[in-house]
Amino acid sequence: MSGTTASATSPTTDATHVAVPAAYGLPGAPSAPAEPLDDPAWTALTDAATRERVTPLLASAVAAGAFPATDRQYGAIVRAHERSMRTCVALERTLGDAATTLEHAGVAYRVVKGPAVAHLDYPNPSLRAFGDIDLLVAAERYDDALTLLTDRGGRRRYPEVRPGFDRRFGKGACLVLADGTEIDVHRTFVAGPFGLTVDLDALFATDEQFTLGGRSLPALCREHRFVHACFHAALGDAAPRLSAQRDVAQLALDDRTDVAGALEAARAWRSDAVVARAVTTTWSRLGLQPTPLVRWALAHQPDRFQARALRAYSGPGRSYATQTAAGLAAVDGLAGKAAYLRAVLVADRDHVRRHDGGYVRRLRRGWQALRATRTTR
Amino acid sequence: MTHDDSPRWIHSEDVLTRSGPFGVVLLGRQSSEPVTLTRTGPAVWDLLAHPRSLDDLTEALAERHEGSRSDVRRDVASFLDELARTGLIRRADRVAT
Repeated sequence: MSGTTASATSPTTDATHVAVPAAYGLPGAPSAPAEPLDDPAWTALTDAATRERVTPLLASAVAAGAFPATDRQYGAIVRAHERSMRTCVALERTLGDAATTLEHAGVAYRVVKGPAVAHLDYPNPSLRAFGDIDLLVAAERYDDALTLLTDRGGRRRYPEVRPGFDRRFGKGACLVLADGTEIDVHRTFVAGPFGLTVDLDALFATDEQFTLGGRSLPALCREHRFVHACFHAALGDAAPRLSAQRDVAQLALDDRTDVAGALEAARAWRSDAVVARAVTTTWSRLGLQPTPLVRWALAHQPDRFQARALRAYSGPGRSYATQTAAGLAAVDGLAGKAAYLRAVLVADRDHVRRHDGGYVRRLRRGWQALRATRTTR
Repeated sequence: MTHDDSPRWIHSEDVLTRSGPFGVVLLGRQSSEPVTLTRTGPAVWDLLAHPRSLDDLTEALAERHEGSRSDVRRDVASFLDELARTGLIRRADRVAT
């Protein structure tokens, strides 16, 4: 700890310095400022850390002396870390209850994202914060899973496009419990074309167990966790959270991850471009030293399908509509494409009312979205 | 460790935990809210990863902290009572349910 402070304008890799703690503990991570930040800069950093869900990494870096802080700053970030961990254990109780419900009904599931990577991929689960629960459910029991969890008090945040759409084509649904806790029930990794090319059976053919409150819960195997982390970081949000990018680096730099095996799976799912994008953007933002995987990612050239599909997830045209429109190319067979188009265009009345305001407007938006995915950048 | 006839205690299996610079955060099945252990609490919690009696814990903590052995024993006994009451620890000689 120290009593002197550095200016917010000190040159670092990020205006708020938040990439420094986000990369804390990784080989080749960028250096922290030499002196504690002044109060405005510290506030900007902790706000960014909260937004990016890397408060635990910042607190741990400060506690280890790897990021300078005044005594007051240290106390504040430790309290913020404690709050985030109290949220995590409360969410893990919800996870345990949901898992029990699904297991009693014989519904196959995998825990994905936050709790799974916290317990399996980080040296200490206290380094990974999360704000909701994510479950991947086998497609054939997807409707059952939603019914079971809504019977326990979950309420769908958004209505389904059309009955049966989620089970066959959708990403999944967000359920909100009475206490505000969110459970994302996924059928696949993302909406749109890349969600339709993932081999869902392969995801359930393997698993890796982790222990939570004295019981074992199934997660994806390590290679599938890495590919999923790439999906989340590259396609999940227009501006990915640093916690999602840290997951990519955490798994990629773990000697236990069979990166070649993960890339093989990604190629089979026509999504190696997703891995390439996640790796390049992660390394750039975290300021890490290049590895052979990064060199592969920088040299990667997506094929026509992937180049077009990627456009639906990025840039100003990014929207659920463009992803859905681009998904048509990934649906197998004419009958499948017809069913997909019918479900999307002749959507459930409640869904149309909430999303588009009317069928004519929906058709117009659908046509514009389809054209957007065909436009060359 | 001493060999006494007093009960030995151990973590309840269903407790959800996190540890870090803040101490230890615990959430047991019987609790509605997580609790945070600070100061000597995390050290006692770590010791309770294996079966420990009050004497075991008193001996271990008296070596690390200032204060009379009787004061340490009284504080540890009170702490164990609280952990047991909230279901965060259980008797090691009883099968977990």
